[in-house]
Amino acid sequence: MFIHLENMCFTYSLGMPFETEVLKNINLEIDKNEFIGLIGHTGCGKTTLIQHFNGLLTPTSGKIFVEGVDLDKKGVNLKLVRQKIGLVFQYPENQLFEETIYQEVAFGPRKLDLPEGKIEKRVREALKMVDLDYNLYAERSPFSLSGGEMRRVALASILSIRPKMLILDEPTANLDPRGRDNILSEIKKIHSNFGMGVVLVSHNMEKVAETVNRLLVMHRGEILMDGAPRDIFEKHANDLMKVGLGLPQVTECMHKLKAKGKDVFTGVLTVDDAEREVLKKTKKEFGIQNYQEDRKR
Amino acid sequence: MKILRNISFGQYIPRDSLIHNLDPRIKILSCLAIIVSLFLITEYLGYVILGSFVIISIIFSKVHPKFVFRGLRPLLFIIVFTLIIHLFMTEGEVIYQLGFLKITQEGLIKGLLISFRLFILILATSLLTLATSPISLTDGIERLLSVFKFIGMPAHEIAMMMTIALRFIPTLLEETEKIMKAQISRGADLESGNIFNRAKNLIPILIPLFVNAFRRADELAIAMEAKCYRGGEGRTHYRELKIKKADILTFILTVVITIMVSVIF
Repeated sequence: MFIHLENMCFTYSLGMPFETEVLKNINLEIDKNEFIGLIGHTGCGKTTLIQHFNGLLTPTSGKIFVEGVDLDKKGVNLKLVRQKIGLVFQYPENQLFEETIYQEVAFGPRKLDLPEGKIEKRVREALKMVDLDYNLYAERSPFSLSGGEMRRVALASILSIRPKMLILDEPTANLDPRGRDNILSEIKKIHSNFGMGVVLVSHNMEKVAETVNRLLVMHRGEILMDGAPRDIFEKHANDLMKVGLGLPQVTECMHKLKAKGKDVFTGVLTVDDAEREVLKKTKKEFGIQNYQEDRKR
Repeated sequence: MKILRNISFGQYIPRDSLIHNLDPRIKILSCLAIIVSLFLITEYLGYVILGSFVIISIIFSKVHPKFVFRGLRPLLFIIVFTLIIHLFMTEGEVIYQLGFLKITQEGLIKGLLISFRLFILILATSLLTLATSPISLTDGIERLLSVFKFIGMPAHEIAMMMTIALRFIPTLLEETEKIMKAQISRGADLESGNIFNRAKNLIPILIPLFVNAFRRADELAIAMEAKCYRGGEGRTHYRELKIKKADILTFILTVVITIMVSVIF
């Protein structure tokens, strides 16, 4: 088990008049190579939860283990933990500060006291991972970039630490659809090519659901659902609606079809899946054989 | 990081109380009267009377004393520091001697008086900000300053700047905390090293903070422009300040007490 949470609770400003209970009794296990989507409403405690993973916040009660090490124990090297778990904050472009993109991405490795040769190798690797050309970008100022590019540089500056797990807080917030798709496909590639575990935090079901393998749904400081996206969308659609999260558009469409008496499988995530499913059922119902072939012609 | 959340100095605690509902001008002037008389008093009894007047006002404001005293905490060091300086640095009758350090009776009296003075000063000003919303506070300041308009005092502009500055204190604190956390996640080390290294380690926090603050200022300026903001000339107020009976009574009470105390002691 890579990350393991046991009965974890967290309360902000404990003992103060503004005391608020943010996380309630969270039990969670995350494996090394998982691709997880953490979904919930704004203010449900997603960001607070992930800040516990690398020791930025300490639980009020309960325990948290990373690779078997209790983070609350005295003398734990949190720097080492933060090297294993790369946390990308929301709007990470707001944390850029160096003169060149090279220096920006090299900040993390430099703090690890690596020799300059290795640092350069890591910078090249990290920039490649986020699809930025080293020769074109390395010497430019990070402040001269567009919003999407800045975000990729910020992502690269975490990747250059070579974490075993990457946690991203709303990586697609405020990006146009194209920028959003680019970032998501890069994250997908990082997961499959480098075996890095990924936790994707979002308040939006769309797109995230079809990217991840496991979905965690949070509501008011608790983990409400935990499972494969298809299962959750098929079985718990009503509960999702009840907590106001909603479904991806295609999934909702299939649920409406089902409500109208069509016996379709509702756990679809993409338009292609939905098309296939609808065609399959239509063929069965009307005995049409060659619709797909006709269309291809 | 915890320090940032605990700054209560200048915080506003909304309540429905006698003190909250007073006219901000009255509150500011009363506070000024108390401060002036604090510096005129030279005897204990005066401080006791003035101190209890402030404490009674705190009770009337329904603000939990916890908040008031939390504002004291960061300034405790200064109070203790002045007390010690006075203890050892005043010439006079020696009551205790340890090597070259000697405590004098005059020093003790003077030190305690100054500590009381600072203590009441902070209590009174804390109460003013705790029980007055930033908007009405700056409203009051604007009105009071506009008395000096004839010598070219830009009262409205000063008040607007204060409003904006007050408004952005929590925002900037929140942002500092976020940037600190982000840089720590990237491997920044803020807690160890000597003073020079620590100063150097602040660069990754200060630069993004400044960049964002300038960007914010720019956006705010454009937004104000888009709403046709053009300074104080001919500007009317949504909430007109009106002096009520309670205001007059409070003001008379404060003035009488402060003048009496300053004259007698």
